Amino acid sequence: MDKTELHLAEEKKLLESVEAPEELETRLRNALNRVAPARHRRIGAFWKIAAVVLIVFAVSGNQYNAFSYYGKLLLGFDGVVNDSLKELNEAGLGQTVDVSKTYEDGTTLTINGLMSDANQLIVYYTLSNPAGLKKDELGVYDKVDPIRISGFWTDSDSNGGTLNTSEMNEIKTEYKGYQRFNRVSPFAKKLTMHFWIKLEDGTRKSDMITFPYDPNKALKSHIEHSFNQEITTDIGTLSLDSIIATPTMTEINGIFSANEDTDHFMMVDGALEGVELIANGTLVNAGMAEAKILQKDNKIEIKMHYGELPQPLHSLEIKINELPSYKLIDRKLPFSSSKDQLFNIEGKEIRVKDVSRSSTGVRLTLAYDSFDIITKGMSLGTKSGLVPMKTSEAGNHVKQLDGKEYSERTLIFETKENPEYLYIEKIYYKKPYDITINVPLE
Amino acid sequence: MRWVRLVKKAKKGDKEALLHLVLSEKNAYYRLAYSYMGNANDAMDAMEDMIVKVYENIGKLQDDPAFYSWSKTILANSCKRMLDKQSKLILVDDWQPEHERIDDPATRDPYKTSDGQLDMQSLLLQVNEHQREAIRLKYVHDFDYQTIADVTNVPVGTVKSRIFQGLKKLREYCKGGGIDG
Repeated sequence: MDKTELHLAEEKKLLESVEAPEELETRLRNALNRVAPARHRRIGAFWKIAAVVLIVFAVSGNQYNAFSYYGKLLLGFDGVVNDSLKELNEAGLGQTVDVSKTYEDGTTLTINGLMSDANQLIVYYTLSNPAGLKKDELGVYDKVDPIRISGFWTDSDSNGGTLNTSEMNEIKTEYKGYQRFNRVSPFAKKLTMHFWIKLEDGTRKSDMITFPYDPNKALKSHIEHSFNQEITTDIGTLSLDSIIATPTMTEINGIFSANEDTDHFMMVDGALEGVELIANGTLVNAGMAEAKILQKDNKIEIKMHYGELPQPLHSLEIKINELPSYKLIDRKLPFSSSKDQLFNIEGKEIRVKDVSRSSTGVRLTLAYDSFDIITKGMSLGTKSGLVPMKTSEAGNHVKQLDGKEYSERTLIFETKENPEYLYIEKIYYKKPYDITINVPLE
Repeated sequence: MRWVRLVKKAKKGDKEALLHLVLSEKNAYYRLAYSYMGNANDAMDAMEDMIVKVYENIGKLQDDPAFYSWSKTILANSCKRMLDKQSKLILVDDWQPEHERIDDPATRDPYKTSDGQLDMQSLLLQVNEHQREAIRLKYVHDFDYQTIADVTNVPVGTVKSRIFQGLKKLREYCKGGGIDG
């Protein structure tokens, strides 16, 4: 190691002695609390979509009007998309669009093309400005933030797209990206993309761009299979209704009917992570799963997203390893004089780290196996009875020397009385299963 | 990776999940901000700015596992923007007696006044601002080339050459006995 490296190592060591101050958490929390909640997905659209889907199914017999289509390549997106999208593009399966809009700062947004199937719509776009595109204050070139697609019987939310991963040309005048949306109606002939755009002077405006769409050029699904598989759990029944595998992704749809309360399912973090899709013996990448509570009959609508399936496909199975469960515990954990107490609940450890009083109430800090136990269902016992939790604050994520990881959380109770015990009414956890469903291949 | 799940939650607007993500790496973030800003208050200001930006823009992050490098890029940019603003206010700053700021317990820090730091400062002054930033990010904060490129807004090749040229210059300077090390 030469002197320069020694000096750098020394600076690194010195910097490592700098620790984040205690007040940092409060400052960050307050900063976050000052911002308005992020845009939430609109609720209530389900029935509208359900009606559309029903009509579509009735009219089209659950088959996209999909003839083999060979069109033009979408040029210049090779570096932006993943391999499977690249192959589809190379096979000429995209639709060229070429509609553009120019803004007062000289920036032009061009919709170059799209790829559509029974699961999603992918829109490819280019941002260009002959005077050069600058990074915004976030260090991002992509000034377009697509929100949704509307059209005839179509209202599709955005499902993620490119950010810094997108391609910029060398002279920084052109930027290419793409955005994924939920599927669009096979009856739409025109689509409108709603988006935010940040201009070079820093102003942000909401705008839309309309382009033609040819549903006949939608990619053909590999598999569209409906089944009626029911899995009974402690807390309800999971029924898997359909699987649609298109060249760009795979979606499994189902409904969970809760015996008592949809919370028993929804309270478990990553509730559907135990459901795997296995194609030709290999695990298919899982994407985000959506669970939406329907207002009626304790039902939850479920959509599980996976990557595209390998071709040719020899076998396809859905494997269920874990599903949410819930248990009534009804146990009191008394606080003793020693602060650091350890309790074992259903094989999970809960450590009572600290109990302190403030002028308005009691703060109780717990450490527990990360995210497996949910604080809903815990209350504080005092002389005059149980006090429900008012709020809770996330704390540190602790990694012990033995490799064990804990999350800390501080529960806040509003009471003037002395805390005597922690009452755990119920816990939510994942229960192991071993169920394999074979999906028949035509 | 458990935290990837938190990224997904944060994407759905869960503020606590985002806070948890940032707090589990709070020292790494803080050190990055501190090395740009040089004092605790400004470092925390920059982090406040970062968490708000991250919250508002996390929907655009496609690659969930890239959360940490993405948010650190945002933090570095927040710091640079704040420094930019401060340099415009430097005249006003000069009006304040220096000891007032140093003696403030919130901003006092062993790191700032230690000999090692002073050595490094004078050593790094031998290279230009861009080389200095790239070397720091690489060797003190362990950033990869791509992240440094994102932070400094230049291609990866330029980052590599800045680091190479900067180190070369530093080595020559050390050899020439310019610093007692």
